[in-house]
Amino acid sequence: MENLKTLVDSLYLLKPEIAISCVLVLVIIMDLIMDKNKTFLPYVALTGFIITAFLVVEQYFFKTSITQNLQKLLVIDAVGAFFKLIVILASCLIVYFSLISKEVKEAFDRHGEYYALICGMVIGMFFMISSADLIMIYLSLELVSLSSYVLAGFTKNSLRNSEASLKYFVFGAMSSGIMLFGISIIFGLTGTTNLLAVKSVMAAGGNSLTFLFASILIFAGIGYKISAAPFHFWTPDVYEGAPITITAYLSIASKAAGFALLIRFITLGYVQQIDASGAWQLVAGSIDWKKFFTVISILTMTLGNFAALWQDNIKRMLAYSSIAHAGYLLLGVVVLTNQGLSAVILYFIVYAIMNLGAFLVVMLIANKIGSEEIDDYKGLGYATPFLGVCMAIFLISLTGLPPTAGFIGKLYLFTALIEAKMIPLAVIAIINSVVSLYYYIRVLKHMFLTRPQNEDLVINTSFAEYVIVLVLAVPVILFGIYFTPIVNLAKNSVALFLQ
Amino acid sequence: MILSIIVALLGIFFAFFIYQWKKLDPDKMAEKVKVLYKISLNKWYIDEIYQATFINGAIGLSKILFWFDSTIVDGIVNGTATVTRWCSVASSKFDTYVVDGMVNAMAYLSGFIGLILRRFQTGKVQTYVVLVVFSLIILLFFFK
Amino acid sequence: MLSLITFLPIVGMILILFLPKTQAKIIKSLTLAITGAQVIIAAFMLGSYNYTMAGINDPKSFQFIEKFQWINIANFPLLGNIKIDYFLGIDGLSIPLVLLTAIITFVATLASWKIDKSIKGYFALFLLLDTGMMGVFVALDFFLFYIFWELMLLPMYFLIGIWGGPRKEYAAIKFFLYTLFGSVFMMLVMIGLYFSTQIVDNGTKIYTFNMLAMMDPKNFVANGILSPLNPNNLRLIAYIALFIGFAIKIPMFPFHTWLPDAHVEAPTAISVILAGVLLKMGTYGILRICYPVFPEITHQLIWFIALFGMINIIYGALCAMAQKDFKKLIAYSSVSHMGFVMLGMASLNTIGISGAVLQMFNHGTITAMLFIIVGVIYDRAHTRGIYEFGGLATQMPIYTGFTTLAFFAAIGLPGLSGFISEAFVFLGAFQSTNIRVITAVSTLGMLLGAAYMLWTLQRVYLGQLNVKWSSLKDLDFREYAMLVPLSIIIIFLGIYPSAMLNLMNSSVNAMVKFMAEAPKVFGSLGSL
Repeated sequence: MENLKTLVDSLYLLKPEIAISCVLVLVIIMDLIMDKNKTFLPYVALTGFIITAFLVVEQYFFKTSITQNLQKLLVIDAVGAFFKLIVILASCLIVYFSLISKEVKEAFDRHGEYYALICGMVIGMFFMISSADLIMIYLSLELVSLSSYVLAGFTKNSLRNSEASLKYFVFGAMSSGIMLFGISIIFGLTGTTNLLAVKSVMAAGGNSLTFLFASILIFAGIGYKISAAPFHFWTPDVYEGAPITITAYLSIASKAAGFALLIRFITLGYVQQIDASGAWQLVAGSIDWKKFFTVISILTMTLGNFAALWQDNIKRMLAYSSIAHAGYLLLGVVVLTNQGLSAVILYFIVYAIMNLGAFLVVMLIANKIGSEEIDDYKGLGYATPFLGVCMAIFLISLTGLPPTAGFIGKLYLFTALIEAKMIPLAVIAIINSVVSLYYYIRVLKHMFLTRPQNEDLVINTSFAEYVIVLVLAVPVILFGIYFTPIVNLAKNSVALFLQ
Repeated sequence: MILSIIVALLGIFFAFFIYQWKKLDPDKMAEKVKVLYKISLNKWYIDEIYQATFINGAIGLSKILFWFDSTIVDGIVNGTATVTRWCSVASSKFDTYVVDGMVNAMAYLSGFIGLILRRFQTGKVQTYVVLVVFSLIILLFFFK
Repeated sequence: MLSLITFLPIVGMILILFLPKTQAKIIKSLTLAITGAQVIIAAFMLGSYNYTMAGINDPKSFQFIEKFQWINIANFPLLGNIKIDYFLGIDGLSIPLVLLTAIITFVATLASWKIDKSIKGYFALFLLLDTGMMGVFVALDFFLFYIFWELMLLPMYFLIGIWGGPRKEYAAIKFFLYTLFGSVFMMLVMIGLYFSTQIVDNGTKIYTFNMLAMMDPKNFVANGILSPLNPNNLRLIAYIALFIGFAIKIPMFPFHTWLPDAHVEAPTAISVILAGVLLKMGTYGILRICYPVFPEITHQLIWFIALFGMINIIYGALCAMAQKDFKKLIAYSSVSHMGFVMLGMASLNTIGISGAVLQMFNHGTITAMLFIIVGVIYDRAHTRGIYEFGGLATQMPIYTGFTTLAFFAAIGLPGLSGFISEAFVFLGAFQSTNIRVITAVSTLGMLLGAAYMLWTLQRVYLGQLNVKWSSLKDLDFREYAMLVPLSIIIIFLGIYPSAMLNLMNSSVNAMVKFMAEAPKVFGSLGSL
């Protein structure tokens, strides 16, 4: 009874999750009732997401990090709330994208399941972000994965769509299997699945080699979600095959949740304490995460950037670019400090805006010309100067050149690295970002440097499209010049982190 | 001075003796002292000697010098110019093929690395699974 | 004042973006008006410039200072309070280059008059480029400097890539990748310096990007990665990284190969900007940042700077001689002439550094003129092959006159501006004993310079006129408007160089003094 009472008392901590579950149920019921007219379904989902967003913001301002309630299954803190905010805002934007996406519109009769599955993903990601228990981690990961498998194959009208879905499923099943194997080993070693308990058993001196083995296996599951090499193989195929809205969603929301999970997993399971300067002291005998992440991040960004050089499909190119960005983001984790964490958070704000922007422009162009091949972009800058210039802004930001927000993100990542005196890693990363210029600028080259094949081609942009593109493009420039707000946001998110 | 006047007067007298008063037949005289006559007739060959030594010498020397100047000195100058032009062509070739070649080689190398890394993405999910398992094993040994 | 001259082009760019595409005349006139206004502002600044204030490392003696707080974030983890200033100011090193930028951009606007493709885009990018260049010369905060430095890459890429010649795509991406490669390392050094410099602000110590604070030994952090106080500092490596970042822009051998490609493919106006202003950013950066921030390393490596200067001079001249393309020849001559700047900088004495700064200005005007001259002939004949011409002097006498003037100035004929700066460079460099041999060898470069210039003059302008070109017209009004002001500057500074030398004198003196004293101070810090 006592347990039940604390549980009920703690329910207020789950407001966003409860809200989003209600939206899920509402969407499904509406879908069943409203047989023919489903035009307002997206608006229901959008409203629900916006309400949830407010609840998440409320959570952001909780003054403490809460772990004791909820049977130690979940952690509610500002870092988690920040990632939830990224997820929910990305979801809002994706709903908006879906409204103007031709691809999604074509599958009009199955809109209900589309939005319901997005809701399902959001619930999964929310729990993923705040879970403190290995079972919770596994369940939420599966919830996200299962929803995204279906979404990746949602349009069903092309072969590559179904192929993407199936590959995603097979690869995902394998990864979560590996992860589950790791979890079972840990449970066998420690008799608990709670990360904090696991840590205390570890600190008392466990079997370190087996423990290390299990840690790497669990990382396989997380690495698959953030598409870190060598667990990234699904990314290009799925990103290319899935509808653009879902590709964009996977590249932002799913990755944000994955990173939150990674940070949670490391800090709860392996970090003894965070000292005054904000450095994370690893528990004795744990795997050398610094070295591990160094290797993984070098692999990830190098592979992503160099493989992207040869891509002819822009979605596939952006897939590799998102792998590369996962590598950059890992740079913030490598240093194992609060400063690094704030750099990750900062980079995520920036990355979410610019990557969503790039996918949005790709989607709008695909709506009009029906192609995602870079070769078909020839001269498009003249057919639609507005989209061309915005694409240039997003891609330059992805490269990390001033005066765009992408530069600020990179700057803080490198600042964290140099502060930690990891110069060689910084040099590798910076050479990578030079390489990345080539494939980003290649798109602009096709858009502007070649004259259009069809001189009369004019792509008109509707008002709704104008608005959404500007909503993403303006902050990229604005935060590049005046970045106090986003840096403050990042700073405040980690201010209370585990202290 | 007196001696020279006397010699001169003697010469004048001798000339009168032969050509004016015709006491001696000049042709016979010439026949008798043919060598002396010829020398004197040709002004002691001074012009010829002068021509042969000084004038021809000077001309010869100038010819040599001219040859030296145009072939050796100017040759060095022109040679320097030619060598400079060779150098310039060589450095231009060096610039295009070696210095710039290295820059382009870097670009090709990056592309080549990309080409290799791309090979792993076969599109077959079986390959991916095998690769993941292999890399897990490698990671495990690496961090053991 | 400095903000005005820097951001006026941005205002123009925004105005242009709102103008309809069809209003080509208005767009061009607006650009001309803005660049003209820049010249006027620059002239006004010249008028009210105080010749006695030195600048270099003393924030108080900079002029036209504008300093505002730009970024202010309290209590960032590990970094503490983050404060970045918007800090502009000029001294004797930068005012010649501000003037140069204003003049060259104005001339380049005239040179762009015949652009017929996507005029709106062209002039918008052109003005963005203008802001980037001007900003580099006036920024005194490293962060701001870096933003301006990178800002001009993208417009340059498009200006070469869209309006360029046949191999424009290759040239544009090569320029972009090459210069980005240099500047990203600059960013790492910038962050390293940030963590090595702390100033006191409102009673708390904060890290700073302020360049002038980085030159002051008392601001160094004990364990900063690039701080002389740290025995394991990486100052030498950082210096080389930073230097290469600037050297790519100069361009210094062996990082120069982007230049011929970029020049040959770029439209005339962009070549003028490239040679006239962009190359100076490299040498300016070295003088402004590398020298005073790392004085002790500069002393260690001074011989190499001179050596690379010499290689640039001779190698550039030799490569120029072998070119069959007129524009490529001028491009390589820039490599050679920028070598003089490096040689002058390496002398580390007043005469040499004055010569280097003067040479930056003079090379800017002379090479701009040379590229305009190539542009004139290319507009008419649509070819730039040196061997395809001959005897143009009879067909276009006035044009040939201007050409001869520019050529002679480039050779360094007494009475023209090029002579003064080259003479100063050599005078200065000969005084510096450890680089005397290098200087002696470098004089060969002047000879080679004369050789390829005169040879080109002979091949293109003298001799028999090719009948193919018998219909070429002489200069028109627009071309006069470009060539006459530049010629006047060249002749004026040839006769009265003090006008420019006085301007930079106190700053150069301060710099020489600083460079003579600072190494001891900086060097002794490590042993503390």
